[in-house]
Amino acid sequence: MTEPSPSFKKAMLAALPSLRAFAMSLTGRPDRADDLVQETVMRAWAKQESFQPGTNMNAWLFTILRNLFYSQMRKRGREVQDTDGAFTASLGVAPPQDGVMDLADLKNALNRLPPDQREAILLIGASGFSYEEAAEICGCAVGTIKSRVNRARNRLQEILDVSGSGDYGSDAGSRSVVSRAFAG
Amino acid sequence: MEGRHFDMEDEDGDKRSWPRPGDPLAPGGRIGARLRALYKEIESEPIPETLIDLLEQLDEAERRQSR
Repeated sequence: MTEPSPSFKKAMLAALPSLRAFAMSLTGRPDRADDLVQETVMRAWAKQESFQPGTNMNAWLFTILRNLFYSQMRKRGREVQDTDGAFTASLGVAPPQDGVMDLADLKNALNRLPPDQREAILLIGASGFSYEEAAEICGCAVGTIKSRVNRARNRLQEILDVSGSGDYGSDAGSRSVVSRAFAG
Repeated sequence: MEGRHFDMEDEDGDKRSWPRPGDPLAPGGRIGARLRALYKEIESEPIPETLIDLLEQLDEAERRQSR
């Protein structure tokens, strides 16, 4: 007999924003991201008994969402690679927040990472999971996550260094030269 | 999640670790701060009504069932 659990609903509600962000980074499209989150909510609800109270609910939900995403991709016979480019393309370019941030550069940089590296660095650097949680979410060894993160971090640093002049409010012209240099 | 330890054990004694201070991926780091800002952009969007309705419906259905 299942007792109604308002706290489960509450916890799910609280997790929705970060779930949507992760779904966006996987699917690259707002409509597909929301479909994926919706399916995740239904799946999680149906198997809520399998959630162990006291453990990280976000990690549990991310695992469900990620598994759903990859099984959908397999069913459609599509390569994950197909979504490349969509993440950055679908997100509006935010204005620099304090003259230091240029998210457009970052999106372009993320876009050029292999999907497994992009996923790893986002789980750690954006979602704030521990290496161990990220490994659980991706169903791989902690060492694998660390090496993916290392490679992604090095690559991002390289790219951001090249476009680094943008950090200090360089004119848009020189930035677009940089992005052209990397295009394709 | 902010202000946590870089290595800690959870209730079950499992070790967990995060990027250390000085790592560009740490919350205030060069890359970490940007990645968080990128997600914040998405996370600050309003949650679609359909998702909230879905949760309400699931909750309501469960209540009715357990009555």
